[in-house]
Amino acid sequence: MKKILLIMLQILVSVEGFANEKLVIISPHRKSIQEEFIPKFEKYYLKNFNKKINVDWLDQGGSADDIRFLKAKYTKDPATSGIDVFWGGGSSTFMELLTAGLLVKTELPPELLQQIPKLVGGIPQYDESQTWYGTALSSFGIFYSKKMLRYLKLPEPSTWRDLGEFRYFNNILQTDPRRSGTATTLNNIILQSDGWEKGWEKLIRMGGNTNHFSHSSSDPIKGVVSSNAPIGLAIDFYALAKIASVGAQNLGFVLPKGETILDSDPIALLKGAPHATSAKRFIEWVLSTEAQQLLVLPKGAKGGPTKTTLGRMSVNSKVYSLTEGRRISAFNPFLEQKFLALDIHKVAITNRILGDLLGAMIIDTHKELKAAWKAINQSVERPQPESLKALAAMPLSEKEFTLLAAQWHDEVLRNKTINAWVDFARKKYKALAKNNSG
Amino acid sequence: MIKIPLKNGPNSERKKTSGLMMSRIIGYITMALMMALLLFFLVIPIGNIIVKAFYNGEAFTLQYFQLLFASSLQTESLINSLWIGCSTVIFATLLTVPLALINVCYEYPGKGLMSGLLLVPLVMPPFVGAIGFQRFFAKLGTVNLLLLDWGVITKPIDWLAEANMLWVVVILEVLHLYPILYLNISAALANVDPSMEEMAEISGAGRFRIFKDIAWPLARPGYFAGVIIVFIWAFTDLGTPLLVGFNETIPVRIFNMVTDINENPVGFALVFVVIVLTILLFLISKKMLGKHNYQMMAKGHVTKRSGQPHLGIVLGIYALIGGVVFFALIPHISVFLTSISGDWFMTPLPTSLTSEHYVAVFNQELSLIGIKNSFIFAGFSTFIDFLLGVLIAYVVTRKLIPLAGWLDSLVMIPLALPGIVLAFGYVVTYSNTFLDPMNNPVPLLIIAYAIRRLPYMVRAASAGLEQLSVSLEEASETFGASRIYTLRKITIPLVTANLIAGSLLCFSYAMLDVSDSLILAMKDRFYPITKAIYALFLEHGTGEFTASALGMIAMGILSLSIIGSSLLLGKKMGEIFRS
Amino acid sequence: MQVTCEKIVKIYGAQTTAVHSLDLEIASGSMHFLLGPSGCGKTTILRMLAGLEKPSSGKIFFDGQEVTEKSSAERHIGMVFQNYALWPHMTVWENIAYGLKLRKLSKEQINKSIEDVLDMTQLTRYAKRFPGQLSGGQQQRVALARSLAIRPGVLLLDEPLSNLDAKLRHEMRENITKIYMSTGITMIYVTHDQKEALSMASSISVMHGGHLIQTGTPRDLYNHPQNPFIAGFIGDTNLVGGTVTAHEKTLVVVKSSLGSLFGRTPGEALAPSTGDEVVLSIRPEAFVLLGKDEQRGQNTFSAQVTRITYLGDMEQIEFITGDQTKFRINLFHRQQQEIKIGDLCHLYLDPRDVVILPPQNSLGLET
Repeated sequence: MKKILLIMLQILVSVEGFANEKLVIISPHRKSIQEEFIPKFEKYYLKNFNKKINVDWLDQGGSADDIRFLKAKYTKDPATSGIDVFWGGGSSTFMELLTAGLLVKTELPPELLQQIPKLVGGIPQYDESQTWYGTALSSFGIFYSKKMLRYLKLPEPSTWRDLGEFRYFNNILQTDPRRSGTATTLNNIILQSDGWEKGWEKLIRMGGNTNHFSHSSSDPIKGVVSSNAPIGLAIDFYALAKIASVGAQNLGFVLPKGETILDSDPIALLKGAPHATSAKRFIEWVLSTEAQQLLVLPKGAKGGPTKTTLGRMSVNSKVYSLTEGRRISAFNPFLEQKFLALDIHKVAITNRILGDLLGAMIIDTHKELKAAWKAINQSVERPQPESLKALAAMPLSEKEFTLLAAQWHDEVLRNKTINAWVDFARKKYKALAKNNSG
Repeated sequence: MIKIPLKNGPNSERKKTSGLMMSRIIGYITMALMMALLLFFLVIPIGNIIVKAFYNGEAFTLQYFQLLFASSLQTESLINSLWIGCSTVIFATLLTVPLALINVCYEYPGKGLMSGLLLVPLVMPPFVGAIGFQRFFAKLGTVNLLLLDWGVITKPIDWLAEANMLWVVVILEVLHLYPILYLNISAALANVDPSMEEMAEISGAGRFRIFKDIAWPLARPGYFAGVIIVFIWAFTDLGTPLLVGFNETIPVRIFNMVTDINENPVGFALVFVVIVLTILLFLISKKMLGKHNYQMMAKGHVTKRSGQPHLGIVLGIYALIGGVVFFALIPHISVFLTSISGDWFMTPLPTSLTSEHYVAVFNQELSLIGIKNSFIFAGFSTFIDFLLGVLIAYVVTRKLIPLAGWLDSLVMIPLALPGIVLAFGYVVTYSNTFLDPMNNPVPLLIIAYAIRRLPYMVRAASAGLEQLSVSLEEASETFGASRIYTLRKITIPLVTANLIAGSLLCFSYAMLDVSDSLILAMKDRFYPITKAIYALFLEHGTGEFTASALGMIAMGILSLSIIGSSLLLGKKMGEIFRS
Repeated sequence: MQVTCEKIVKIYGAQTTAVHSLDLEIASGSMHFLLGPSGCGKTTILRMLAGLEKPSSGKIFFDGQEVTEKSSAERHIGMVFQNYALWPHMTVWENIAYGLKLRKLSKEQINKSIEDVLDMTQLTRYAKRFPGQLSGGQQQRVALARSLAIRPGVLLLDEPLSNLDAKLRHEMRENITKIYMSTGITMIYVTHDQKEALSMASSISVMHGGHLIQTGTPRDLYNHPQNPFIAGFIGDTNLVGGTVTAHEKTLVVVKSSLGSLFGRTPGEALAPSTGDEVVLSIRPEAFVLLGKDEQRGQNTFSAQVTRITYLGDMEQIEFITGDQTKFRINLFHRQQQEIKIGDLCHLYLDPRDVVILPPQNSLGLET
């Protein structure tokens, strides 16, 4: 018994390093990012500030879990969470944190700020509040199985509009935007660039073609690899890593021409950070060319990652000239001009309500949507325009939507509205399925 | 920690009285500790979360419940989940009754091993199951490709189509949960006094009538006890519907609403509804069982006549059990294939095999840390479950405190509770205290593991204690032994088998814990094996292969321990799910 | 119904032989007891008769018809289990009705039969109760009523009274006897209690170690035991070793530690020859205590009193002979002298009370 108690005590009192500087990071980033960045930062810190630093890397799962954890922390103690830095999760995550007042301003040295353009193809790389800075760029595209498409005798898709064609019915895998920042960004961008009505039509048609909305943004890729569906919407670096492992003869990835979507992967200092100085140093280092090279260089290259090729896009424009010819991908987002722009402040306001609206119109009523979409397309030779219009009908206008967004914190109103939307969508889809069948 | 007093020597009168006093005091302290533990690590954390269902930011409200029942989505999900629960029970019954009858009626070579194999599906592959499962049942997955190759079908079958999902979930639940029912029914049938059946035989009843009129009615309480666990489990199981992507169930709804970027308080209202439903079901079943629980009268001296079947029947038994186990192990098999596959793309089976994923596992510091941590966490939590479970079961079965029945229901709550809710309850309750999981999650992890598996231990211990005659304890007390001394020296040794079985279950499920680990084990040096699997799983490129390999290792360890203890314990395994 | 066993052998597993080649004939209408210590195979025989076990070899006949391969159901028997085996989920009425319903009798017939047996066992007012609500004796009666209701050809009773206290046991013996008298049903009754057997049986088979030792009426077994086991098992006896020295007419002279005694053999077949080792069985009540000067000639000897136990209606006196042989006598009417411990007394035995038996091991039994 005593022995057990002693062991117990030993486990409970884990020995922390003495007198070293500390840094606490919370991040939804994968293990490989942690493995590549943290040891190198510790080395850098020792060299430049002559002090050892211990970095605590907190992993709680996805960015939603991290936000929830932080909010719980700040509810207990509004002054500090005990965490210094939040890193990764998409711009919408950081707009949410900013709106909640959990971020503080970090001023970068001017020479560093110069290397980071404010916009890359219409996508902000940092907020004007200077609370968060993008640390990497990711794009969102179409991942597909060449082999399966051939088997199904389907052409390779190349635009978002293609995905709304009925021939891809049941052949697309998507991620639930309520669970993925990147998927949210996709929807936001389509709505912002196509406008309310056209945007929804596109989204609903894509939704009608979708086989399944999954919980994690990595699931569509896995679904394509295991041949559950030939097409999945995916983040570039994940798709590219998969292609590298399974082979380009089998898989393909395309960024829709002229409508590519970029999202930044920001970092920010948190309110009441207990180790603000080292946190600021970390943020600066992550944005520096030294750290940014880790993102673009292949494993084992000089100045590149040691264990895993990360295969992402840097936000630091200088990195591209430094690594020209050595990067794993020649693609330079700073030279492309064909991205869709995104108004992130609008996103910040409508992010929550949009998730619920997408849920009600497309995901939670997916079964009915599919049935209606199928009926419309199979009823006659060509789908009737009025049916297609009815399919895309929304329960509210963009103006009402924006007005409602301001009241969305009222949970009762929110749930009442969601219930009404769901009923609206079901009624609409069921009526369409009935009218177009037989 | 709870300490059980050690000595109570009845040497001298004076010493005896003080010893009795002492142990009585220790008894009260133990009891207070137990209650405190439940209060601080079950009631308060859940309360802290559930309160969101009743609070609209300003005042108490019941509106979320109105909204919940007004929502066609939620009511539909509720119906689906109830339907899954009922169908699982029905199909599991149809599957297990023959298996249990074979177990009771026949002695055949390899019976111990077969009974052990039947239990292996209790171990589910964490995370990685989804990958393998999809590999098999994808539109152009293993099964369809084989069927196409063989010319059985000309167009791929959409196994996971929305219309099939409910049934896929039911099949998976049945294949996962039948061992519980199987254990229960075999134990209950084995407990039926053979002379009861012989008397019916003499009266002129045939084999089927004997089963229908005598054996089954007598075994029914045991069966119902299993049914209630299986029902609650299938009703509240999150993993399986998530695995096949069936969102229209209550657990997935809750999961979505409480873990989405924008959490929805209606989700917490739903959690509350599920808890209430579970407790109600549990209480009703207890009432019904209490009424019909026939105390077996003095058992005849005749042992059950287990026939030695001839070769044909033995082969039939092997085929049946083999078939069931094979289907139940499809997710496991697919994970295994994934873990050894080199190239596997749109072919029925991997086109090349490799052991490099296993090499990768052992090259990962994370996996070794994970295995070690899991053993430590699961070990300690099982130890806590053992102490708490025995105490609670003792207090409840011997009705030592008022409202013992409520205590019994209280410890059933973790069964109904989404793991994530309890874990997050801990975060909310213990942030910025000495238990803050951000600094060191080990104490909370162990407690979370323990609390979530407590129902199994309490049920296992209760089953043993209820069958134990109180007179054995009273005899000890007439010699001047205190209650606690009696518990330690008389009661516990007599229900050892139940306790081992319960501990085994607690240990297994603690080793496989997902939700607590994800949320509480935040730093990699505290990762248990499941979180290590999760971290590997998310790595791009070949992450899922390494994760599958580590998953296989975890399942291997557990299966061995389950088969081992089944061989060790025999039929007593079945008593663990009695309520 | 006449029940016949022919060379029944029952072997369990590879080694355990529960019943060695058993031949037994039970007359129709008798109350036959299978008596023996636990583990002697009596319950196994009963279970074979019931069809619950199949003999390893041998045949069983009911009324001359072979039933060895028939199932229990086809044998039309009744059985009362040691633990009663009442179905706890059925009421008394339902328990009794079960077998009747299986016989597809009409509702009236069933009701009539149940009422009859309930009446016979005085259980009428408990018909609606569950077994769990009854006392041990009542449960026993339900078990009896249940087996009787189907009017079986033979009623098998497996230690039916062993779970009852002494007083109830007494009452139940009478009850069963009464039922036996009024129904005339053939009963086969297994017990280890020799008093139960002696007081109720019309015939008894004594078993030991899987062997049938002796069958006969209670009086037969008591007066004419054929070996020391029976003598010791049925009633109380003193067993004294000796050697046959001579034969005189029907009597045999045996030299034993009680001196040279005239005795009788239980049957012609068992007559020993001169020089054979034998065992003398002498019931304690057979000894006659002689007065100081009383002489009876042969079959007298002396021994010293070692212990006297007063039991009211009789006295039990223990003696020791010169060569340290101990024996015990029961004295019902002590007329003559005072006896004290240490006194040397003369005792007489009627040659008819000295039963000469073969030594124990002649049966091949482990004793």
